[in-house]
Parts: sequence; C-alpha cells; structure tokens
Amino acid sequence: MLILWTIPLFLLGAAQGKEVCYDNLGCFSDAEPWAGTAIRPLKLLPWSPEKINTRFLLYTNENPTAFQTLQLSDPSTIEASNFQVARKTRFIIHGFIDKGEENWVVDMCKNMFQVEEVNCICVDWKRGSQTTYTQAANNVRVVGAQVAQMIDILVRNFNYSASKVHLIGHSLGAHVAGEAGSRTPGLGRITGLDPVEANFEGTPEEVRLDPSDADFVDVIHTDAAPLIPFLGFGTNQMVGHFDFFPNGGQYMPGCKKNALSQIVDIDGIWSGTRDFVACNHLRSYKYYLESILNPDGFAAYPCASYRDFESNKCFPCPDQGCPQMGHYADKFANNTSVEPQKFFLNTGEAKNFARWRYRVSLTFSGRTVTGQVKVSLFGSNGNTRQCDIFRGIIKPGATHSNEFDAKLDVGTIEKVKFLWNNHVVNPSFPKVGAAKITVQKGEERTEHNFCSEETVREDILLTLLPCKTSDTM
Amino acid sequence: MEKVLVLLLVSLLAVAYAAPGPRGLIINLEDGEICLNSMQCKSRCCQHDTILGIARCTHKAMENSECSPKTLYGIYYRCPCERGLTCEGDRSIIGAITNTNYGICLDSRRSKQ
Repeated sequence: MLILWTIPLFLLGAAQGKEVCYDNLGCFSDAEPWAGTAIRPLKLLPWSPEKINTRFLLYTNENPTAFQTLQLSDPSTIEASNFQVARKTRFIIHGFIDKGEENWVVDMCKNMFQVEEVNCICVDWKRGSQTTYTQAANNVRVVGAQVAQMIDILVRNFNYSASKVHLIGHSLGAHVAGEAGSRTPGLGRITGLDPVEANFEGTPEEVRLDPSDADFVDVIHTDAAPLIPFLGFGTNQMVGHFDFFPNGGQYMPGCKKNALSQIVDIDGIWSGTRDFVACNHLRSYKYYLESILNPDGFAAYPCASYRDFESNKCFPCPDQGCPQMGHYADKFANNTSVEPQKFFLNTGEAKNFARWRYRVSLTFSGRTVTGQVKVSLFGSNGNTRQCDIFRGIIKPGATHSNEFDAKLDVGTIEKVKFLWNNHVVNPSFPKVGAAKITVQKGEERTEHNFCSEETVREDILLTLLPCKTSDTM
Repeated sequence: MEKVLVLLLVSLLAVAYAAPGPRGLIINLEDGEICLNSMQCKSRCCQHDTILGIARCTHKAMENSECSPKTLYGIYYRCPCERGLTCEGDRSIIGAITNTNYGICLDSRRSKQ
C-alpha cells in the first residue's frame, strides 16, 4: 500500500521539474521546451539577477563616452540621467563571452550619435555570458526579462512608448532581445545580428527570436553554415520579417585568411584573435556598425537563394525598391508580408564593407580572340577599379552581361573604360573593342549606353563615351 | 579566467578543423594575408605602411589613385597600377632607393583623348 501510493507522487515530481522565481521577473523552469529536448538536452536553470549582475549603461549625445548607469531597482537613476523621453532608445546587447564595454558595443553608440539623437543603452551581462555555453543560453531568459522590465519602467514611469524602442542583439544577445520582445507588447523593432544556432535553432518561438517579438524584426545572417562540421555559430533559420544573407550568409569575404594573417590584425592582437575564432560570426555587427554611416551602401536584393543572386537573376531592385541591410532596414518595414523574406547582397572583404551593385552588358567588336575582359566605370563621384566582366572566347557581335559590386557609388556615369588581355603571346597583335556597353545601377531602372567604334590591342584601355541619340533609339 | 579557457577551447577546435585543409602561408596569398614579397600575392602587390610595419597582399592601384612604379624590391608603400595604366609622377634617385617614387595612375592612352 505504501509503495503503491509513492509511485504517483514520484511521477508527479518528475513531470513537474524544477523552477526558480525572481521578483518582478516571474518564474523560470527547466521543463520543455527550455530543457529536456533534443535541441536543449541539459537541465539547467538560469542564474539569479544578482549573480548575472546585468547593467544598463546609458550613452547619449550629451555623454557619448562616459556612460551613466541605470538601475532597475531605482527609477530615479533614469530621471537623473541624460535619458530623453522625446528620443528613440536603442539597446545594444552583446553575446556569449562578450561584454557591454567591448569596443564594438560602444562604437555602435558613437556611430549613432553621428546620425541621430538617441538614447543608447548598452546591456552588460558579461557575468552571465562568460560561463559555459549552456548556462549562458539559459541566462538569456533572465537578461531578456530584465530588459523587458527596463522598458516597462520607461513605459509606466515616463510615459514612454514601446514602439520607440529598438533592441539590437548579437549572437546570444539576439535571443535576449527575442525574450525581451516577447514580454513587451508593442515593441518597435529588434535587430538580430547573427542569432546563435546552438540551443535555439528549431526551438518553439517562445524560446528564440521570431517575428512576433516586435513590430519589425530584421536579422543579419553571417555564419549560417552548420555548426557541425563547419563551426558555423549562427543560425540558418529564418527568424525575422526580413532576413539578410550577406555574401550568402555563410562565409564572409576576408575571413579565409591563413591563421597568422588573421590573428595579427590591423586592429590589434585581441581583435585578431576574436576574428580567428569567429570571423564570420563577428561580421554581423561590423556590417551593422558601418551601415549606420552608409545609408545606401547595403542595398539587399530579394531573391530565392544566393545561387540565384550570384547568377544575376535578382537584378535590378523590384519596383518597391531594395531594403538596406542594417540600421536603415526599418524604412521598408511597411513592406513586411505574411511570408518571411530573404535578401541577398555582397560586401567588401575588410573595413568599408559597403558596396554598390552594377550590371554591365557589352557587345564586342574587332577580332575573335580568347581572353578576359575588364571594365571600369567613371562618374561624378569617382571611378571604380577594373572589374572582371567576361572570360572566354571574345567574338565580335556577341553580347555578354555580368554584375559587379563597386566600392563606391560613382554617381552619374560619364564614361566607361574597356580593357582585354590574355595570357598568351599574340604575334598578330589582334585588336578588340566594345561597340556598346550598357550600364545599370541596382537601384535604378535606367540603363546608360556607351559606344565606341575603336578597337584596341591587349592591355590598352578603350574609353567609351555616351552614345549619340540616334544610336540610343 | 573562464573566459580565457573557453576562448582557448574554441581556438583549439578551430585549429583542429583548420588542420585538414591548411591555408597557404607562402604563395597564392589572398588580399589581407601577410607577405614578404609581391610574388607571393595573387594580386602581385605586397604593401606595408611603414618600413617596419607588417606587409599584406593588397589589390593594385586603380586609375586616379596613388601608386608606385614597379621595382625590384618586391614590396611597396603604394601598389603599382592596374593594367593599361601608368604610374606618372616625379622620380628621383633617392626615391628609387627608398621606394618612395609615388605617382598617380593614369591611362596610358590619355594623350589620345
């Protein structure tokens, strides 16, 4: 009788699992879907707020370099600070092993102060993130709840609107933002910078970042290759209204340097070591950083896949335009559809990542040769490098088209230069020309035509000027 | 302390993964990789900012930007020009010795325009 009575009690206990509760934050259990699943097998409870010691470091245009600490337990710290109710508020939330005073977090604020007046709050949860990964992944829930609590204080005590709040989270920080967003009705925007994959990809929406967490959720994927065996830390899952996949979202240009070149970084050994460990993953915040100061340098093309994008099937921008990846993505927020949308673009290999996409179509003239063809554009804002357009048999009358990503927006295109070469000796000194070159910028429908009747020898530049009106018709 | 350990662990994993297909250290270097001579670089320009600074493979100079003429040194403060361009600028013996004969990349055919 005693034994029989004990069994149901034991089962009840097993099903119930453990739970911890914290003032103002609610309760956190280690039941499904938070633990005990294939994706999150370990049963761990999040640490207490005191142990994590989350800090809210406020920077504003008035104090861009010295932060003011805002306390959840003492709203008067907000009142006494430079926080301005009339301004937008952006929270920047770091990820695993990172900290709120890391250079990139503070640099985010500084870049924003150059373009807007804003309350910039760095969420420092370094104690909760610099531990085992699984524990940090669980601490995300408490930090997210605390961010939500901070927003709630702003709403209740200062009559602030949650729609003016923007959460920017990198790696685990993206899921902190997701947790905060799911607890905050009417939150304006969340930007996920390469949300982390382990323990989150494939989980229910309540666990991870998802489109319902804010009015507008945009995500930048830069390390979306599978964790095993490619060590891709970021998720491939689409978790926003807009999901951007720069360079395909898996491998970033400039991240394939040999180990020595990667670690000995221009920005110092610490930055280089970080890049050596997680170069692709860290690019997401570098792109966002630069997008703040480059309002039109990260135009992203809606496309079904990166392969299609690279095959030039998604050019030019659709009629409603291309969203800008990063800071200005919300200018297209009204274009969110029921279906999540994928966007692709290419970036540079190193600082000054912004690129402007052009299509060049050219018709050959002169002799038939085998070789490669390069084109450079000259415009009101400057000129591009020589970009590879074609490789193979150059036949007069044949037309070839290709796209490339320029380092600058050349502005109004004034002329185009054509050059060909090959790697064999040409005893007959053949001459090749481009009868016509058509140039189109990604964000425009207009095509610009350039003509020439000349032909040139190898390694000689041919200049093409705008076609005469009769040619255009 | 934990931070360093975790970072070390991830580093070891990354190294272990990198081992099967090691990236070259000597030849066919990509832009941004450390070099000692321009022949090592796919771009054919090994560039440093100071005589003692670390040199990296860099793309060649485009039209209207600063350049150096090609030299025997194999390492540059400014890269030589892209095809079809000439590095136009003042030259001096001292400049040749110190590799500081800078110029601007201009179209070799510019006189025809």
